Amino acid sequence: MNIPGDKVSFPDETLVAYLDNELTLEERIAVERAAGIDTEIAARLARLQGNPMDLRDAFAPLLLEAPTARLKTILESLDVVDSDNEPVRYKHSLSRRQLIAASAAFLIAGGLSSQALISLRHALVPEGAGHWRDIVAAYVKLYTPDTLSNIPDDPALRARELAEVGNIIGLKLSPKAVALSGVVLKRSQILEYDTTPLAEINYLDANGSPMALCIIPSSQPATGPHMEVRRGLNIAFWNDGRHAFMVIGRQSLTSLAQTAKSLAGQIHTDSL
Amino acid sequence: MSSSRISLAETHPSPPHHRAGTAFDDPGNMRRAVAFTSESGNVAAVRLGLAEHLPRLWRFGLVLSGRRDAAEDLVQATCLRALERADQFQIGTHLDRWLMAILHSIWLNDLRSQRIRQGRGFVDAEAVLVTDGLGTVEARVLANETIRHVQALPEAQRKTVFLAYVEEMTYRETADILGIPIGTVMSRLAAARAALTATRGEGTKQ
Repeated sequence: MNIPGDKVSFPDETLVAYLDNELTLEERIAVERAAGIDTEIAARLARLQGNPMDLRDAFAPLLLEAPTARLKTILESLDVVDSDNEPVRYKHSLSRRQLIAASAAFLIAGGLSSQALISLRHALVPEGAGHWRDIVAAYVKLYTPDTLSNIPDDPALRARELAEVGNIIGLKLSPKAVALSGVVLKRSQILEYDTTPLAEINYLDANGSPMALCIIPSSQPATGPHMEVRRGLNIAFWNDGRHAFMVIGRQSLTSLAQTAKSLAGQIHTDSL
Repeated sequence: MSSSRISLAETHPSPPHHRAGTAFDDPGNMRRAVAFTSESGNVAAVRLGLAEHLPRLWRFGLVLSGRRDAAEDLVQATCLRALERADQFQIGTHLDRWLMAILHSIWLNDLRSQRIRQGRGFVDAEAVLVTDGLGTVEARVLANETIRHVQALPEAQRKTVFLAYVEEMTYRETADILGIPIGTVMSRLAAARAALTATRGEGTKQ
């Protein structure tokens, strides 16, 4: 390509590739030959090489500053369930369980006899595989910021909703018990999972992104919080031995884990 | 699980001057090779690899975002996506590079735009990336100055420099992780080297 002895011009890219040992042997020889006879190329090579900082060493201490223990805990608690792609068998079992959005019909406005409440409390959910969380995820996935943004602020109504919802699932719920910093309480309602009442408490975070706290009576042992992703939504879930809880949204797992921790400490676990 | 056997082989990364253009295929240049004898072990193997590479992934997230909290979010999102897509991991290829490509793609498609939308932007690299790691005071000062100079580069140059010179990836690997042609890697590195040399020149004059 070049006549030996002639001055050859190399772009900086080639000289840097030479310094990085990314050239073929033939190309290396061409650069070295040119640098030997052309002081301009030799000077550019020296300038590009500079006083080479050891970037690897400079950045090495940052590895020690990574929150590795925390990240490991989160990694270990991740239970990835890609429900959208589950085999048919799984989908079939889900189809028998229906979540009925019954906020209007089921209770809030009306009320339920104490006898009905008792029977509901006995219908504890078989939640071994987290099916109820999967159903909730499918439901919450339909939310947009607009779903909740038009609900007017009405502290008295919020408190009443919470008390009524809490009454149905056997928990003392108040605005204080479910208050979280940085998010606004928007609505509480009762849904039904199989024959079990399911409390759904909706929030909007500072970015206008929906987040939900869902609670069902449970007979499972206390556990958690654990984290998982279902249907593309992040979830932190735990159980206090009487109720199963989950917070779900597009918020980061760290943020949901902190939310879970706060709520677990705030919500009184005594049954009504 | 019990049917899957995972073999991890590690060699120390080669210094830059030992790299060759085709090093990606050179077993002697492998930093980590992960081989699976059972495809069903992919999730377990990816989980194991994630645990191993968490600090490196976090550091890459930190270099991209300039923020420790964002770096943590990036690693979490990377863990999730990698586990979800474990079956797409190609047996016999480098897991660390696959994970870094995922992290970079999440940063590019999701977190970066989200942060900009929220007006949270980027903070001064100096404020966040300063390390108080091991070493003498002088070494720390030098390391922090070096980090500051790299972080002051435009993002495109910064991440290319990081992968090529800190992670010591080949041009091919760097191009693959960032999803760009090798020619772009070369021009970014040339521009970055020129900028870093100029910055150092100013520093020594002061």
